[in-house]
Amino acid sequence: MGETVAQTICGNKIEYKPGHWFNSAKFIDIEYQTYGWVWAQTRENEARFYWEHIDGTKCIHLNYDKNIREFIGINNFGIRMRHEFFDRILNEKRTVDYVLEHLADANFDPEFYKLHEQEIVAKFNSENGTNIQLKKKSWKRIFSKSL
Amino acid sequence: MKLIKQTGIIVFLIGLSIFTASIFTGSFSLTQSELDTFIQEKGYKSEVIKVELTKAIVTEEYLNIFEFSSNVRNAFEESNKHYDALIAKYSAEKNWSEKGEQYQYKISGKPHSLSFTLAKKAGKGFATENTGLLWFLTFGFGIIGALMYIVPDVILLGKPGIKNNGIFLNAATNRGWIGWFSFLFLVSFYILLYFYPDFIVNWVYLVDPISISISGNPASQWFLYGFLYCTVMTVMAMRMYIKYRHNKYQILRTTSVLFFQIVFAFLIPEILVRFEKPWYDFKNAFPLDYDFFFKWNLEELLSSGGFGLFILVWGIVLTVVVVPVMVYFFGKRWYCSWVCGCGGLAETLGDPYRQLSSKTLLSWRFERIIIHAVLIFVLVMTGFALYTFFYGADQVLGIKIQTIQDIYGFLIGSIFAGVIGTGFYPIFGNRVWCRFGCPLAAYLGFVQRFKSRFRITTNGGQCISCGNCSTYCEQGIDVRAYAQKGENIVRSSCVGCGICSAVCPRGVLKLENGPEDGRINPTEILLGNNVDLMDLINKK
Repeated sequence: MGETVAQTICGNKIEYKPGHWFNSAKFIDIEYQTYGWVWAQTRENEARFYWEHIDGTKCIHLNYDKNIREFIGINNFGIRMRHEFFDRILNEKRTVDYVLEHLADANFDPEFYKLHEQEIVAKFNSENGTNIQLKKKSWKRIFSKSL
Repeated sequence: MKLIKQTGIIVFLIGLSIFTASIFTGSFSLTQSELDTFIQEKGYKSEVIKVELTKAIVTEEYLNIFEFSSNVRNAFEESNKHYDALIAKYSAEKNWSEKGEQYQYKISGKPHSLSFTLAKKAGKGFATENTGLLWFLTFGFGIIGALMYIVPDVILLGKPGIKNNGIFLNAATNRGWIGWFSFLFLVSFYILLYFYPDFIVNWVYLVDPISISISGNPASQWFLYGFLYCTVMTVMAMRMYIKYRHNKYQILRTTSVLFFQIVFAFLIPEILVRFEKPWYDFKNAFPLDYDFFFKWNLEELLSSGGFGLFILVWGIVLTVVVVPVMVYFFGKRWYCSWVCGCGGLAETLGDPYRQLSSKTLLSWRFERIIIHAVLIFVLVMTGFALYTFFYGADQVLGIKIQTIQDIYGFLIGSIFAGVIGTGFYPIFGNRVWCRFGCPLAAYLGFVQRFKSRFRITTNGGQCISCGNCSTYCEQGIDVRAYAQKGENIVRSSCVGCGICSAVCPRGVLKLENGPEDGRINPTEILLGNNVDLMDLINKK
C-alpha cells in the first residue's frame, strides 16, 4: 500500500489514487470487514439495512442511496466477504438490489460454513417490500473481471 | 478446571511409565514340547536349531526379554553358522552337490523378528496373566489422563476461536525440554517397533484380546502399532474438535481422517483376514504403498481368487485414475488432509507442532530435490521389481532386486516415514515425511501444480502481513508472501489443511476449487490504490 510514497521518495512523483475504501479488523474473536463507506451517522441521501444472526456473532450493515439505490458500503462482522467482488460493484456503481441478488458470489467463508444469504435477502425483502431473488453462486461471474 | 488438567497429566504420565516399565517385566521360556511343536510348525529342517534353542530357552530360570532375545538370536546364529561352515567345507572340496544340500537347513529372517515370534509364545508374567488390568493401567490411564488434560479447554480457552496464545513460550510446543523428551520417546518407540520388536513383546500382549476379537489371530507388533495409532488419533482429534469448534471445515476434515484411519486402515484389513482374505488397506495408494508391486504381494493377490484380483485392479485404478481425477477437482487435499493415515496422525497428534516447520528458502529447495528423488527411487525400484516378476529374474543390471527392496524398505519405509516422519514431530514440525519424503505427495503435487482446479484465494488487499498463515503452515509455505500480493497460492506441497485460513485474523485466505483459467495469477494485484503495479515496474 505504500507504493505512492515509495515512488515519490524515489523521485517519481505520481498521484495518490487510493481505490475504493476497504478495511478489516478483529475484535477478540469476531472478524470485521468493511468495503465502501458506512458512515457513523446516516447521511441525507442514505438508507441503511442491518441484519444480525440470532447467535449474536454475525451481522451485516448495508449502506445505499435511497433515491438511486446505488450501493455505497457494507460492514460485515463474523462473515468473510470477497474484496474483488465489492471493488467491482463500486467500480460499476451497482445497486444494492444487485448486491443482494449476487450475495452468494460475495461470500468468502471457508467451505462447509453455514451460509446466511437467504435469510439476509428475505429480511431485506420483508423490510422494503422488494422481491429480490438470490442467485446461485457463479464462478464465471466471480472471476470474470479479475481475468 | 485447572486441577483436572494437572491431575490429567499425572494420570497420563503414570500410564506412560507403567507402559514403558512393562517391557522389563515377565519371564520367557518354553517347555520342551512347546518348542518341539514350534519347530515342527515352522518346518525348520536344521538339525542344530532344536538343540540350540533347547539350550537357550527351555529352562526353569527366569529370563527377561533381553536375555531371552539374546539367547534365541544366538541359537539361530549358531545353527546358521554350523551350516555355513559345512557350505564352506564342501565349497573348498568342490563338492557341489553336497554344498547345494546345505542351503535348506539355513533359517532366514531378521534375528529380532525370529526372536519376536518365539517370545510371543514364551511369555509369562503380569502382561500375559493380567492383560486386561495392564491394558487399563497403560492405555486406559493414558487415554483418561490425556482427555482430562484436553477437555477442560472447552471452558478454559473461552469463546470459540483461534487461541494459540503462548505457543512459543510453552516447552512442549517451542522445541523446549518437553518437546525434546517427546522426540526421544517417539524415536525410541519407532526404533523398537521396526528393529527390536521382540523387546516390546509385552506391549503386544496388551492388545492380543482386541486382535483376536477382530481377526481371530493373536496380535503382531503391527497390530499394536495400528491400535496405538487409532487411539492416539482419536484422543488428539478430541483436542482438534475443541480447538477448532468454530470452524466447520476443520471439524469435518478431522472426522474424515479419523474415519478413514479407523475403518480403512485398521478394522477392514483385520476383518478381511478373519475371512481369510489378504490384509489390505483400500486407501493406501501406490507409491505410498511401495510394496504393492513386489513379487510376494503380487503372488499373494493372484492366488487369492476373485477378491485378490479385485484388490490388484483397485490398487492400480486408485493410483492411475482416482488419484489424478480427484486432484484435478479438489487438489492434493482430498488425499493428504482428508484420507491419508500419515496425514491423519499429522493433523491430530501433530497439530501442536505446526509452527515448527521450517519456512526457509533452503528448506524449500531441499524439499524439492529430496521428495522427487524418493519418487524416482520408488518408480525405478518398482520398474525393476515388475521386470523380475515377469521375466523370472532375480536381478537387474547386476543388482539383486531383493537388495533394492530391502534398502528402500529400510531407508524410506522405516527410517524416513516412521522414525523421522513421526519421531520428528515435536522438533521439525508435523509433516516431515509428507513434505520431504512421500513419493505419492510428489505425484499429487505435480497434478495439483499443473492440472487442478484447487487454489487458496487471497482476498484482495485485506492482508495485514501479520504472518500467522506462514507460521502455522505445516508444509513450510510462505503463505504471507502470496497473501500480501493478492496472488493465489498454488503450490505442489500445499496439503489443503485449511489452517492458514483458520488462523488468519482478517479473512484473507479461502481454499477453493474454481476454474482452471487464471488460477496462477502472480500479476493480478488488488491494492489499496489504483496503481497498476506491473505498469509501474515495467516503466522503470
